[in-house]
Amino acid sequence: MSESTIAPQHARTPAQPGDLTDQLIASDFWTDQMLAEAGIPIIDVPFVTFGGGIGSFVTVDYLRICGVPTSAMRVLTPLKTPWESYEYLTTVSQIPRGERLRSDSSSCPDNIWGFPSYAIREALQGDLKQAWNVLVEPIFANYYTPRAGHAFESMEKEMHRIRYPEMVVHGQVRMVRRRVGGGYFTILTPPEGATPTKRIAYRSQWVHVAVGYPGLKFLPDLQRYRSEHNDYSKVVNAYERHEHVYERLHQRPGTVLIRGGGIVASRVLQRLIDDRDQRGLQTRIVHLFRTYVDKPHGTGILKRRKGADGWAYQGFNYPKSVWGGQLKQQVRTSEGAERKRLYEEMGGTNTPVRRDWQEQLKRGRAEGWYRVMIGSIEDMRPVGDLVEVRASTPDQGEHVGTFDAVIDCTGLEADIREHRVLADLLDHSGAGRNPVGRLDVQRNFEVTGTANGGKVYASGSATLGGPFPGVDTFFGLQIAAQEIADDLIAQGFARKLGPGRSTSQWWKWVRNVQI
Amino acid sequence: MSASPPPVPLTGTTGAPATVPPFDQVAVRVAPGQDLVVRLPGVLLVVAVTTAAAGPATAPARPALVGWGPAPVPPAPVAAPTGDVHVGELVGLCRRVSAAGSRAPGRRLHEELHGWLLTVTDPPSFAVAAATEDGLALVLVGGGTAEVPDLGLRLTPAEGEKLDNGTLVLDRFVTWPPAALQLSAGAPAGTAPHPLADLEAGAVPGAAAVLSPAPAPTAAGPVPTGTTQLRLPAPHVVTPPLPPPPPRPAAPAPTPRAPEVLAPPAPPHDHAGHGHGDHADHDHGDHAGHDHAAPPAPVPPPPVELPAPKKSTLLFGGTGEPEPPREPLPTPGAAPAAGAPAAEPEDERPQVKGILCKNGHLNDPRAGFCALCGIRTTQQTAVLVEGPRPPLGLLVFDDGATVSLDMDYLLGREPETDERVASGQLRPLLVVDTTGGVSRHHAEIRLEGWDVLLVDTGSANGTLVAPRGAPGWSSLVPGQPVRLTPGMAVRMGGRQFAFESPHGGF
Repeated sequence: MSESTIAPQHARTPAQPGDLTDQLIASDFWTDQMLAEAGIPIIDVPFVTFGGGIGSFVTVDYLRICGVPTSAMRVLTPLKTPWESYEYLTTVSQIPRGERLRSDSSSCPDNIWGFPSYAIREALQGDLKQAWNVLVEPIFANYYTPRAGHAFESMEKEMHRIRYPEMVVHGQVRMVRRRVGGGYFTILTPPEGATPTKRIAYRSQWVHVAVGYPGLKFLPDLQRYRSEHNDYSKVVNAYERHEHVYERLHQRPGTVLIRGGGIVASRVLQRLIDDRDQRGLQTRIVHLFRTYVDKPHGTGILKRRKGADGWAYQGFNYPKSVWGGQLKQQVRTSEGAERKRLYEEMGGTNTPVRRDWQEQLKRGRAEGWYRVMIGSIEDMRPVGDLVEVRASTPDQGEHVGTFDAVIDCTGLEADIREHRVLADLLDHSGAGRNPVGRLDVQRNFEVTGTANGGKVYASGSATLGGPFPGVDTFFGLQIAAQEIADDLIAQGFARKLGPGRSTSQWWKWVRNVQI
Repeated sequence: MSASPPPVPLTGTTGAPATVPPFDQVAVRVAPGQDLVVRLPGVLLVVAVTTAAAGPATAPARPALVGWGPAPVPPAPVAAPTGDVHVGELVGLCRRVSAAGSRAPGRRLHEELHGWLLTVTDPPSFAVAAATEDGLALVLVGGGTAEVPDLGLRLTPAEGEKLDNGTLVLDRFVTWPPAALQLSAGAPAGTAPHPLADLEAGAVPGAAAVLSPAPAPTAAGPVPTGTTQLRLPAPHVVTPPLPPPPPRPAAPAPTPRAPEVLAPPAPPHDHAGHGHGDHADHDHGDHAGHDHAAPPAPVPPPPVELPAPKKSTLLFGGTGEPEPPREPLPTPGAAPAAGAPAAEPEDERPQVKGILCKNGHLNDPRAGFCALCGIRTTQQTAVLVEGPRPPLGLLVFDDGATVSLDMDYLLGREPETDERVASGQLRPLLVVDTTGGVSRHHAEIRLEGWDVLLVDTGSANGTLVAPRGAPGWSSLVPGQPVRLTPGMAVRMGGRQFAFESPHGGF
């Protein structure tokens, strides 16, 4: 572990003008004077959103449609496009642009009305099968989901329609602090050399935090294997580039160990078996489950979920009712331990069932090239060109096997404190944690405890555990945007989106008129 | 060490002080004189020499050359280490620090000089300026001075401190002045330096050295690839000096310390021997043209930063070293030659500049997620730090063999016959091809910064590449490096391999 862990060298000397001072870092509240003394220039803009992913995008989209001019909002982001991060993750986890997403399509990030939906748009372009699918799902067909590329392209169109690029400022957000006299300072570190000073402060009345989740957390044994053996190629996580694994299996037959039973595991398996079928490969797959689900499960007769062959099935990563059914209502009115319990009930690893890979796995089981193991990995080490894995099973003791590759499909999300800005919010701005341990937000997605003559809002995965469950989906982001916009409208920042405005704006959307 | 003098003028005059001009890219003009001016990567030294000692010392040191006619009388104020012992030590110290280090050897040099001065009772007068991360480190001893005539600034050791052994020393970290900085070792500068004169590297006689002010920082300035040296447009000096680009751009992106390092070992007697001493002071902005001391292009730069000691390469396996927990290199198919070279301590892995993730792992500045622990890297301010480079990816051959890219490789039918392979600079990678389409030395894989470059070394049948998703193959121009992108396929003869990488974008 030590070799690649380096202490930050030569702590930057404060020679560069406009850097943070110790006094600033230590104070919870800042005055304009303090920033002036530090030489940090201040830019005034009423609404600042940072993160700059899809969360920022849908919020800004909503506000633009509610009549807020581009000059009143700024998006502080290191990303080039709102979907950059998302596209990276879907691509590496085997959903390139041409594949269908595995998440719900109840909403479209490019269209706050949700109409026409992705399926209808596809139908209008001639693919009537998708419209039929939507009609008969989920009984006679699997849930419809849009192609990844479709989602990105339509977002790009909307991005230009609302003149999003005019609002983007590139850089890293370092912290948000409350301002004496009301409002907030958001400290941005622009790319080196882009500005005369090292930092810039945005003084705003509202701040929107949309930094997404802090990142993945690779399992400790994977990290240990990498740092001890300096081998990044044979033990991989499904959320990073691992095309070489497939490439190698193409060149010569091999055995792969898949670990985890979630949505990504299903996608990786499908890729492996697709390759096997299309290229006539002899890939053998061993699938390691930690918990094996062999029958339907759930806490009540109305909350049964299908399960078989190790997988816990569900329409999406949440029960469908979190978006508009009883579960949504139940969570909305719950607090504390009760809410935590509800989250635990609906949470856990589960996988959207899809017929295509169900069929593939069935074939694999019948032909013997897909095998299932229950247990957990104890140790991994490279042996020549292979990896030797020692796994312990609950009932059959220890197993040792060698594999050409290990693909880890477990996606642990890191704690919110791992993100510097979120940690700073917790430490200095009065934010707190919700029952699930993430950022505590109220029903209007205001971060609890941060009010200061203005508000800090948050949306996305960092707020999971709040009154609305599905926050890290497209729909969840849009719900958050809607709640935030409503709250801002009530404070007079944006104009009300009544029936007249909504209709005229929808027609503008349809005709792709820039606003 | 004392505090910096006011950084104010800098902020005022050049609009963007956030960037420091690359030390090695500003022009250095040398005023003629008897002292010694030494320029090394990141370091500029002016040291007083005692002519009496230096002159005779150098002459006998030269071997008699056949066919060169009678030996010319060397004007020879150059400090051969055999001359003044202290001057030799000082130059050697600077050279060591410069060669060892980063682009900004200032702090380290400052410390080493301090240590050295304590051991020397009667040090020569000298003035040295070295690049730091954000300015210059100045050390003045004896009669050494540093002045910025345009701004009326002048520093002498008298303003500094007195060491235990009585030496007056001034050492400071200063911001890069926005006007020409003149260093001298006390000798009065007779004639002003020729405006076109530019010492790029090496040691020449001279009374003073004038360091140009910052080259205008361009938008392209802070390029995150730390180890690629860029040639920025020449500084906006009084002179429009011919920026000496001819050698550099052609040479495929040398690593930072590489280009000039060649000069140091040679210059002392070369200059003296060929009587170029005086010559070097005056004219020629084109000194690159006849700068025999630093033949620019033909020398492959990367080797210099690799572990210097020559060692033989183990053939056939050799994965059993007990010492380093490094990956046993997968032997590519029929390639027997890829044994790991005798154990290298980890520190000697090539250093590269990257960003640290929250948990302290070094990553490609362009990566969005840490390659080791998966945390987002975009949440951190991208401060470039230097550290050992992780493997940059791997080659997957058409027979399923994989090669992890942790150093430079020479691919071919008989790669071990290349002398750079024998000396350990390149690792051989035998590509067996029954069709005979692979040349003996076919192509090179070079790791530069976070990039993996492929260079066809003039193979008979050429090398073809196809990025992922490209409709067809394109062939490489010999000698011209191509950056491998993840998923790129490469063909040589009847063999094919693909490059895959966990780093960088997608």
